Amino acid sequence: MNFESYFKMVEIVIIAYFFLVNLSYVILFIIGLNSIIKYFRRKPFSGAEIISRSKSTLPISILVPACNEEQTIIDNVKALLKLNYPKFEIIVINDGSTDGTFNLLRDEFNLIRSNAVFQQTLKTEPVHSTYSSMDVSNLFVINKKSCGNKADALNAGLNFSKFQLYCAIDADTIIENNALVRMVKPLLDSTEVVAVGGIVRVANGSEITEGEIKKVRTPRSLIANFQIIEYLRAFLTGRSGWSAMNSLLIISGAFGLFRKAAVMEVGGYRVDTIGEDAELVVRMHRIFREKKRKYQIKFVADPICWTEAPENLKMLFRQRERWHKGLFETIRMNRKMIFNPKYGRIGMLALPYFLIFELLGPIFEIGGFLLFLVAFLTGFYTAPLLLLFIVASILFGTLLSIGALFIEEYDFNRYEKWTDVGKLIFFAFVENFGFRQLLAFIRLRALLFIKISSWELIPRKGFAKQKIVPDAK
Amino acid sequence: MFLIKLSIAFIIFGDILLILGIVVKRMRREYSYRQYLNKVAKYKKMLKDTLNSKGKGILLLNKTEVIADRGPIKKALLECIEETSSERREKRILWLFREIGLAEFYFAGALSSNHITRARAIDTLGDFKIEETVDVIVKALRERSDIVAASSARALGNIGGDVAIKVLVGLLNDPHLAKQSMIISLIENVGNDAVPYLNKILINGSNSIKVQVVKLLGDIGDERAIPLLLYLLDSDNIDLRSKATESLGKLKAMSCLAHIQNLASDDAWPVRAMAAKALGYFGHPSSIKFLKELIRDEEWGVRKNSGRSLSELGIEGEYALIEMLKSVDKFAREMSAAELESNGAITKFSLLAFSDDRKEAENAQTILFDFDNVISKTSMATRFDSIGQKDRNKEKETTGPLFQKVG
Repeated sequence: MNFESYFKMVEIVIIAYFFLVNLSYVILFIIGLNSIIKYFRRKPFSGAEIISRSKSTLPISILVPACNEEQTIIDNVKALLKLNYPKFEIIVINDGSTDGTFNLLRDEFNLIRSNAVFQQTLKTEPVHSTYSSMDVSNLFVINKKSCGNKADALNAGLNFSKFQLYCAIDADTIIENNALVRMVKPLLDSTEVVAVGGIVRVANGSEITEGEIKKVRTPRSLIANFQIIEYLRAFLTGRSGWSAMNSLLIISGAFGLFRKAAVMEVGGYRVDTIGEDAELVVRMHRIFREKKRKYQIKFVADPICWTEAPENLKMLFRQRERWHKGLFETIRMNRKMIFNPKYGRIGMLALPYFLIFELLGPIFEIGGFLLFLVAFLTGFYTAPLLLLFIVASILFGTLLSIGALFIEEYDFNRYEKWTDVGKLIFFAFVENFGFRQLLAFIRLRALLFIKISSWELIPRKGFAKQKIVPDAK
Repeated sequence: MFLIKLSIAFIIFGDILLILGIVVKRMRREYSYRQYLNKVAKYKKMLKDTLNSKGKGILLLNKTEVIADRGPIKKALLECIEETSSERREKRILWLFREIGLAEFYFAGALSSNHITRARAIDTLGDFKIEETVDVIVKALRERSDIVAASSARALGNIGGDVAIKVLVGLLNDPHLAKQSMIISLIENVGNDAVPYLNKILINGSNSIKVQVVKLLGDIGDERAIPLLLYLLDSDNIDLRSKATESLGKLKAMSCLAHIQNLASDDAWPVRAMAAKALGYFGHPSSIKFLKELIRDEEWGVRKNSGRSLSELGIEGEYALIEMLKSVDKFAREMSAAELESNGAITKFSLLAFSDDRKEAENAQTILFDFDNVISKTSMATRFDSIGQKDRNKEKETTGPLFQKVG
């Protein structure tokens, strides 16, 4: 076999990979679009108003793990306290913060030490003290020793929580007022539903007052704009598509609602991984399928949680490396499910997809890029052919991004200004010239070299420092 | 090469189509929303003129106009109903809904072959409380389409009236969980009018339905439920007994206080737990001796509820908890300490310990000493873990340290 034959073989593999990955994106887009349209057609009949005022609605414990979140924690808790839901408790787990997170909370909400003693069903690092608020009866704060892991903080919160359902959110996120009412619906409708994921969107640039999104706008930062497109693509097409096939593998740690009994049954969050959110969901799939239990894990496109996306490259690098490492660990820990018919479509479809197209994707993406470069330099490809390949791949990427924007515009319509929509369409094109390649590079680097610390201490700008509505009358 | 060029052409076409879709959708939405608001304002003015002058106003619209603008007209009618506090005026608006032909239109919609149209029409008929449509709505309740069934249940809840309530209560037997949870909420909204029908279920229904109904009666809070709930206190079914106890507590049915106090010695711990909770709702000092007994119970849930109820009994309950700090029973001591801490009493005594009043300071110091004595030897739980409501023996099976003491 000469060099040419080897080259041809690699070329076929790469082209087949690109064909399959793009085909899967198209299929997910169609399924996702279909399920979102169905959801919005049914939405007026969901009885959200009844749920929001009924005493029979299941109460929820909201767990907010916080590690050095002084910039966002107050806004976040204030927004949570305003949630339109009949009964809920907020448990902030202060995971060894070294900044003013706890002091701010104590002063703002008039916390007093309650030193509660509680049953430790899940093993966690020691809890130093617990506080309850003199001003609001449903706010609790746990101070615990940090083991440098968000999962441990969530487990401590789970031990402390008293309701059957719990919602895990990040301290740097803002949940929309009616989000819980919409999200709890599948759990009220069927006892088979054990977890529900909501959509996470980028809040950078939006007008926020007292923890509430007043106007959705696009930010100035280029990187944040790219991430708006990326989040829309991932949630509106990817997750809704997987959810429609009952094969959802990831419920974002930033916003997920779970049945506590189901999570306890599978042993809570694993502390030896940094992708604890995805790992928990995959483990639930694995254990429930082994036990032949009927269960469903759902994604609801409407309850929106807003998060602050990193605006500089350094933070973006760290965040994405952590995500990719988390994905690697999740797949490694549940590897026996891959191509195992015992686990149904999770083992035969979802996990192999995540392994080949998500985890190993950067190898093919960077590999393909290098292959074309080599082919061009050695004269295998002519310049026009290479150019056509590049144009085709860029335009296809744009098609998916604009498709996600189309769904946003069609069903959600959150961007009021024409300029914002125009800007996003522009960024949907531009992101293909460098940003997507950069992400592939970060993921490849994460896969090959990086060892990351567990809690991701991303310095936050804070929602308070974003555009503030001067007077919210 | 040709294939690639073809794909590029397709993709470009797709991109342009999607962008055009976004632009057109946006333009249409903005235009039709402006139109809609203008029309709502126009019809609202017309309606108000009709109502104020008793003239023909909106009645002069012809049927085609009404059907074409049904959305804005409906919105205008609903807004007028919302803004009015006069029952007569509201009745007149509902009458106008029929007179202009909208009732007829939505009635036809309720029979449409499209399930979304049916659901929308039924919702609207419910909003305008058209009682004559109850039969159609009841039929729709049995449909396979869950959104039509949910709309029907909601419409019945809005319409109210004897027939609707009777049907709703009857639906409690529906095994479909989603429908059942919605129906419970709707009956809860109907409130006191539903009580006679719910009482009937307490006589005839199956035990699982009875449990739901007993809870509902407690939440509705109508005294007419007391005799039957009292009767259920003698039921063989533990769930029923415990839920009836709780509901009677919520109803603060003083005539049943003695009966509930007697349940403190019931064989089943869930009943004892609910009796402890109910005694807290009553808030009667005569319950203290029973609660002091219950705080020694072998079941954690019973102890927990007793502690909480003693807290709710005010200063006398607090004294009882302080007294229990010296109890010979370890579990009573621990639960009392936990309750005193979580209700803020310990914080209060920590301040009083430095009071200028010597007697008061000494008293507080003694209490704090007793409290520290209990806490230093404790391994207790003060919060219910809804999953792990384990009895003492089972607690040993949990992972890690059994309980975590903090502070």
